[in-house]
Amino acid sequence: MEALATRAWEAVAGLYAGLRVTFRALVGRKNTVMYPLQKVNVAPRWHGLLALPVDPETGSDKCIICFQCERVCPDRCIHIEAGGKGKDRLLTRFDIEMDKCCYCGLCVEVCPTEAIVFVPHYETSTYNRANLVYDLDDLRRAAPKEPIAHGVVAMRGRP
Amino acid sequence: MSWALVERLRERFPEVEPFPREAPHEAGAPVGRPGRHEARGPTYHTPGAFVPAARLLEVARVLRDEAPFGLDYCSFVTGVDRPEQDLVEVVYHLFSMDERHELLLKVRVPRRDPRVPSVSALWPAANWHEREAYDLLGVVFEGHPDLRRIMMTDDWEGHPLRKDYVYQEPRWLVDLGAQRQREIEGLRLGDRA
Amino acid sequence: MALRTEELMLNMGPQHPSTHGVLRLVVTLDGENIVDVVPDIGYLHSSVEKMMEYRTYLQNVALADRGMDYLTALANEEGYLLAVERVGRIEVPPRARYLRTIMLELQRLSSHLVWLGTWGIDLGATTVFLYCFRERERILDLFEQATGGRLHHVYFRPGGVYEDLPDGWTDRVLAFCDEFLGRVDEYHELLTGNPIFLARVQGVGVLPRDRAIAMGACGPVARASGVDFDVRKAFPYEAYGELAFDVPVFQEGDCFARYRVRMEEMRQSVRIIQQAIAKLPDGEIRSKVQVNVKLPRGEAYARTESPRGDLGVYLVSEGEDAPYRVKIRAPSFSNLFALTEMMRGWKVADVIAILGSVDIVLSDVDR
Repeated sequence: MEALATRAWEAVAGLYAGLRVTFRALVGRKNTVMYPLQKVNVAPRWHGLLALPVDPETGSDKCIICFQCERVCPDRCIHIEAGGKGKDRLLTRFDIEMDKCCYCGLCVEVCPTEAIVFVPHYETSTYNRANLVYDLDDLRRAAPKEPIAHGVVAMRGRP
Repeated sequence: MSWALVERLRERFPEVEPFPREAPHEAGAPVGRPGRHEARGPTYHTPGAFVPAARLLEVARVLRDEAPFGLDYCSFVTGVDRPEQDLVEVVYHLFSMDERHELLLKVRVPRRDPRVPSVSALWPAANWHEREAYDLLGVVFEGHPDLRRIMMTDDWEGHPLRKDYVYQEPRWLVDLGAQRQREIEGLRLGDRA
Repeated sequence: MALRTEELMLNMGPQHPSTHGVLRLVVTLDGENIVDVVPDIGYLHSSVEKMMEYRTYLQNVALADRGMDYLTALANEEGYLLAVERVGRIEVPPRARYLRTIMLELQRLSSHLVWLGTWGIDLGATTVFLYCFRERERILDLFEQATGGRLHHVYFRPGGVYEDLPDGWTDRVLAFCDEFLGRVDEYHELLTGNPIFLARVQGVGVLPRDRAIAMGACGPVARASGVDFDVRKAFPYEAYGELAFDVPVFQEGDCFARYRVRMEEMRQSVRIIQQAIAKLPDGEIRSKVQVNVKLPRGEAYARTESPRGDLGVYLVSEGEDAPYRVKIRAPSFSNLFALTEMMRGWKVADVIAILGSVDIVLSDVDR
């Protein structure tokens, strides 16, 4: 009988201790965000969508067509083609298959001219898989209008 | 510490061939330059020895039970396919929980018919690792209680970690994929985007 | 008339709400008692070892990060890179070693929090999950600020780390650490004092020390069975040799001991992080290693203590820019095999309690 009383007391005490935590959380800080209505701010280094920013001085791409990002990509999802010779060498194709992309950031790391950058954008869902192949126009459009002040571009620790 | 262990093993079994000790490294030698390394043999950073397949069980029993070794823990069993030498190297990593020393054992077996005795009676932990090596490299462990494929499906053909393995999608998978693609296109989801 | 009885074979999974991934357990039951358990794995096999043979050493960092345990991406990178750095004799600058240590311990916290939360759900304590994920979310935010990724970071590089910490990051980590110790007490309040929880885990799923070693159990599972072995202490890598921390070891070998080992490990991880931040040296974060680095011929087995146990990578280099062979010794793989031993003789209701206490991640098992 006494053992039963002890066990009952232990059960009540244990439950009470747990409920105390619950009550503390009830009056504490809110931790959730109403996501689709309320957007989440991501960190400046966020590995999000890739973009090709345009050089503000010349108005053209920063890419020097060195194919380093294409080579380093572990998923081989970047496809680059170029036309012309010497100074007139121009990008004719810069496709990124974002459905294959693993957001590792190796292309951003190896780029010598910071021509390919991450932008803090994370909503890329679409109804059709073909829409996930981003071409040159998509990537230019995705680029931030002004240079990112303290973002990935500025803080890269490339040796 | 553990290299001394290899020496002890060699004293016990003369047919055991220790790994060549690592060549002294020149200070400041550039990293990642091949060429100068290529002429040299591989450097073994983890101590170990080559063991003939016929003596494996005997060596393993001594390593597990007898005093200077006491290697009671089998970390993994795997294989390395070497087609140019026509060999498969079966690799065992053994470790002693009390003494904290480790040892790699390598058994070289012919590539066409790789057979080694199973050590899963000595180290039960080797059971699944041997199944994995059988599945991915085709090494047959004789005396294994349950030598089935573990990663791939039971009807899989070939051993994927062999260097000459070529992946071919099974016919049924190709057909299924094409059918799913037609179904998805039939939904005309892209039009809404 | 004698009652005719026969054994029942029960399939749990591959799609079962509490098998933590795609694991199929073929349980043989005699009434309610478990006679035998045969795990059937391979549903998540992605052949990482094969894929690594076709990618350069740098690209493989991204692969190790994703292809193995998805909850401990940085620990996978560390295991892989330790082998690469050993074969290539690549030096890591002191600051990078400390940064890696901080990141690894944060990763351990976040992984243990997922384990605790999901195990709580398995046992019917649903609220613990919410609290654990609240804290985990803050760790992921810290990761996001420093590395750009929440789950998959690709932060470590051969010979260092990718980029230095953002301003004020260490202060935020320290503030989190102070708060987190109080949260661990809270979890104790919720679970350790709860008689229902205790009744389900205490003395259940016992794995004695000798069997733990024989079955290849590692990490917290082995330490709960009285095996005093932690790679961070026994073979210190990165900055662990210079930091003071304890390795919790319990002798009981039951689910409750495994729980207590991980709870204590969380406290120790906080201790490591605080010390590492206090000692964080200035200087280089990355030594010069080419993008297409070619390693000299050689082979090494490097072991690290991932949150799940002894994660080893056996790397064979033949002087190319890609590894010749990579063997990943996954801790979950070995622990899952030890599970068959733990379950024998217990009731069918204990299957999930024991499975959860082992803390397996199926992408780590199958690779």
